[in-house]
Amino acid sequence: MKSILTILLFCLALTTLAHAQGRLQTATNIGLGGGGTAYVDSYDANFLNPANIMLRNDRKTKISFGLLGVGVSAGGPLANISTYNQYLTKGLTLSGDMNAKMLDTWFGTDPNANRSVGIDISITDLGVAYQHSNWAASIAVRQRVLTNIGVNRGLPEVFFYGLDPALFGSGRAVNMNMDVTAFTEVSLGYAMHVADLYGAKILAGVAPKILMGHNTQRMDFKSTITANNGNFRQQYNYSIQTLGSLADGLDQYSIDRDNTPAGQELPQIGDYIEPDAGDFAGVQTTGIGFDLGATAILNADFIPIPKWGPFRGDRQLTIGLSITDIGKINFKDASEFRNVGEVFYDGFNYDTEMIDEQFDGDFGAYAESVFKDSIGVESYLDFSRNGSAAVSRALPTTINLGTHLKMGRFGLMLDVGAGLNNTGVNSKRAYMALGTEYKLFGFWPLRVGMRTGGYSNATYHFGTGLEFRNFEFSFGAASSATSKENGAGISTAFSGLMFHF
Amino acid sequence: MRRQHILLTAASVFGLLLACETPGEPNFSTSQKLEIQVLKSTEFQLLGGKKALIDTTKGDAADFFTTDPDGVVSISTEEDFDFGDLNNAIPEVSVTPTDVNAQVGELSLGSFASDSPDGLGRANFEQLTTLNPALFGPGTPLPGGQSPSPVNIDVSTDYFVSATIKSGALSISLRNTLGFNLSTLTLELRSASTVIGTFNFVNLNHNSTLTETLSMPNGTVLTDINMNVSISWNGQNMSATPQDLIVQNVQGVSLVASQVEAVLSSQEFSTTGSFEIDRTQFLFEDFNDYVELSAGSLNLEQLVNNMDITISDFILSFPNIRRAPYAPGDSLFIRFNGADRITARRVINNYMVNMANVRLYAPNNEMVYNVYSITADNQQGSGSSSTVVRETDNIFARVAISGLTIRDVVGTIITKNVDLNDDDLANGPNIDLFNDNEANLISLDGIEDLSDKLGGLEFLDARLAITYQTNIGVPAKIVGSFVGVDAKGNLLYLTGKAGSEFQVTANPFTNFTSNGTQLSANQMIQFELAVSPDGSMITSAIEFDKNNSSIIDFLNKLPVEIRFIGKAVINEGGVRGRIQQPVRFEPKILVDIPLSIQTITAAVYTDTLDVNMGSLPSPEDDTNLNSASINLTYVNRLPLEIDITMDFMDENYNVITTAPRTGQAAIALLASPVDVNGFASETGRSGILSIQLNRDQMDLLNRVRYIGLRSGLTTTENGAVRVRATDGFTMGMNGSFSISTTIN
Repeated sequence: MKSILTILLFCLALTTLAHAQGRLQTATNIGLGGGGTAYVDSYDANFLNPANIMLRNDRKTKISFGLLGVGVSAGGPLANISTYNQYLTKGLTLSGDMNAKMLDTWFGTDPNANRSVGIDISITDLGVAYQHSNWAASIAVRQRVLTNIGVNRGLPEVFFYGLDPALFGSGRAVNMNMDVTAFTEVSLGYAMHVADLYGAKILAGVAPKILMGHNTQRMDFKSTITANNGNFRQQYNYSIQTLGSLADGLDQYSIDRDNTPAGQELPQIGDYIEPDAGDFAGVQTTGIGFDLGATAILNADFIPIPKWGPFRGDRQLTIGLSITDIGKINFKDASEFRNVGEVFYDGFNYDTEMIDEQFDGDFGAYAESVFKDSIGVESYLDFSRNGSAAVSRALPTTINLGTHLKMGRFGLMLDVGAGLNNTGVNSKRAYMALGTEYKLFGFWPLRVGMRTGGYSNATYHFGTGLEFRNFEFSFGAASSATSKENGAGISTAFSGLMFHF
Repeated sequence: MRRQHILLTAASVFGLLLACETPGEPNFSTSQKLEIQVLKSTEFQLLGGKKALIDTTKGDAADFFTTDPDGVVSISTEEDFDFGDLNNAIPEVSVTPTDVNAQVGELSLGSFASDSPDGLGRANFEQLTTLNPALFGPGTPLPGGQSPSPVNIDVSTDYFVSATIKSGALSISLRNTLGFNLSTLTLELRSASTVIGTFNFVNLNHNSTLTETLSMPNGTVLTDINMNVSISWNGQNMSATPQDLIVQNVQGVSLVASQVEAVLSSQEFSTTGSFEIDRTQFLFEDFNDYVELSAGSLNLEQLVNNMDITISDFILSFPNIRRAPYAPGDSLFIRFNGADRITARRVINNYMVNMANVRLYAPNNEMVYNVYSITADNQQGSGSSSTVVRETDNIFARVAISGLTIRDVVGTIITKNVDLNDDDLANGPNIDLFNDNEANLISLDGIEDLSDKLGGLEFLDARLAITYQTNIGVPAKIVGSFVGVDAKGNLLYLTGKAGSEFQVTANPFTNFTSNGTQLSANQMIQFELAVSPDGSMITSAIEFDKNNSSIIDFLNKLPVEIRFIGKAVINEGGVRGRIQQPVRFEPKILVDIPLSIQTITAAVYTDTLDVNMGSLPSPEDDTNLNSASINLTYVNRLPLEIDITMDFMDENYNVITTAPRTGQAAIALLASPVDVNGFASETGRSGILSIQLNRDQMDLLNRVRYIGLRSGLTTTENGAVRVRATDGFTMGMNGSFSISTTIN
């Protein structure tokens, strides 16, 4: 009992450091707080803990087949719903100190600190798993879109303060970034019973996967805005990494703009950017990734809880350890566009000659031209192609430790882990996921959980479904109770259709 | 138990969901501040090239704005008034058709017969002496004696049939070839059987001729002339073989008759007369005065020879009608002779003489003519029959001079008023300032906008100059009316100052109207034109300035249109001079308004700007401007202070709000200091002009459709200033805005 309590306290302590991960969010593990390192089995285990492919191989069904499992996670400190609700939903007039307090809460006091929000979309198109007595194998095809958007407090300061010289008088950073990567994984999982130690059954699994990169877009915009004495200055430095038709369009725009004779109207960038679904459907590159895991299964009869009521039945403790999403995707021919420049506006130069000759005396048209062309196109859009280069996008690697205590129809799960990078909703901040499950009538699982740490504030989870012997369908959802400081997090997942034979 | 489980689970799930944080509906307002330099500090020069406020290098401005050597700006325009020619100034000269009646007059009788070696008649020796001539040969003594009885000699007068003598004498020449000398010879002249008179010849020797004359009393009728001759002689020896007493000749001596039937020799007769040229428009007061015609004709409407004798030579001359080169010898005459002689009783109709290029010299407006006629000499040749000619017989001519078109006159033109404008018959005889078909117009479209918006400014040196060319060689006075119409339709008449030469004290032209109302003298002006000394084109000018006219008031209104009607009063003083066709009066009207100005009270510039501020937020909109402060930093190098008031008006021109608000400082651009010449200083005057709009005003701005701009313009210290093209101002503008945005 003490050991369990110790483990719980340890895990709770971890949550103070926690942050979350871009792990697979299945309908099952979302209901349980987002963990599942020691619980999720079948082909989903390829992405959480490949050793678990072999989990529950005492079932009568040996083959699992699933279609169209969908999971979406989003959140991050930028999604600070608490602060939002506190300041932006109560009819307050925001100015001065109130602005400062709000943004201090939201973005911190460091003007350069970034706040981001991540969105992971995962669709498991197909999964098949087979369990033998001593081994199991699976294959799963999964499409993923990892998105991360971040800004510093400078951008909301522009919104809430305007170009107030009191704030921007000595310069203020206004930064933002966006990162989107889309790829497909074809994961082959294999697990086997590798040993029995101290009464524990040790499983190990590995799931190498082929990574098929579809597209990646990255924009990083850094600037400093200074507004004083009526003057406006923005020194900026941005880069765009992209490929496909967007890269071609930007490249052509840059060429055409540079070749536009002086005095002629510059090309419109909108004419060069045409959405092309093929950019996200075709395979631009391939790579290799891995998911690794080990699981120990122990008898849990030592748990000093009477076997009655909901705790009646077999007791089993499962402990899993996994490292997921090892690898990265290299896009070979990404184009990078850069622009380092400055916009300085110190008032209209009332150029009557130009107004008369080029704008037929129409000052409005002249003013529009100054803003649109001179400032907008000639400066902000005066990017140039920096050549082609391979860019790599790391998978949202995480290391996870999870447990699952099963006591009859009741289950309790606890996961801790941390991301090794910030891809998507991944976070280097450690997280802890705690969940419990009870299967009413043996086929109706009710799952609740919570997660704390990771990419957002604590989230509370719920999941349910129908889990029959040969068919199951489940879903789960999660949301944070408060997003203050670290932002909100939301997740939802549908298992799709899963069949067991 | 199971139901309890389900309820417990459901409650837990519900509680879990409630615990989840969800974003509320956005409901907040931002309060943003923006301080922005709207306009860089920019120098605006009043006039100049492309970068000036008014580009005087193109468009209307190029026509209207000028600068003098000091750089002072003028609103200036020059327009031609096209009056066409003023040929009506040339007097019309008419001549009443004149009858020329040239009577033959007293008829002169000379020879009564053609020359004949046998004489006109004779009596022989035997008839006169009753002696036998055969007995009295040469040397034969002839005893003295006398004719026993008068011997009648029938005078053979082949030229003469009869005559009624008015005066004169008749001479008879007798030749003695009787062979002896006669002591006396008495000749009783007889007209048929009537004794007219007696001639007494003494000592008519043999072989000599004696002529004696006998006065013919008035009324003597001579016809069938014969004579009774009686002789006496002394005893003598015969000198020669006796022959005859011969009537050698019968001749009139200054013998005139009132009627003659004879074979007449040439009869000259002439007459002189004159006719008057109309004096109503032109006087020939000097011998050198003339009227030169470009067209016209002299028509002998009828030329009648009322005689039974041919006029072999007929000359009708007009010594005062001269052809080029107009010397006295170049006078016009009409002559019929030779083949064109005027035969007896001939009538000639409409004999035309072209009078183009001739001059009429008619001292005292009298045109002299001379008629000189010579009848045919019937005594020449043979076979001529006698003709009855009476002294009252005549040749008649009706002379008409017509169709005279005068191109040049030298003389005294009777005062004449010449319309300078066309007459539109639609309004009767009136000449109306506002009838576009009648009045002359100057359009000053380029200042229409200024005229509409600016009032109360006094242009100190404004002037209206009329530069003209004319060839009128007599004094001419233009009397008319200039009316200026400003952009608001106000009228102002240009008048001469009291006592000045330009003042009209009484309107002489009742048909001059303004919109149908007769003009009064105080709506008119007059000016004299310079006189061309010789009828050639000269250039001169008249200037209406502040000293002689109401031009300042007139142009202070900044008329956008100047209308004129007038008449030229030609030669009011009746002096001698010259006018020739085409009569030209070609004025150019120069309106010159130097920006030499002064304001005692502020001039007002008003304008209504069409400014649709509907795109600005309304109080109901999410985004509102809480306040705005527009600051204009300026350096004014114009010698004008400009106080600005803006009325913000809705679509019905109702004033919604005003800036500056009551109690706020005026929005004023302070005037530049000036030097002694009234020029703005180079450094100008610096200042900051601030326009403050509060939230209440800002809430109203989206209803604004018009901004009424009222600017008070005051010259530096209300003194006289002069605005140069290089004057201007430097202005920069920044704005501070407080913007609230409500999101809910």
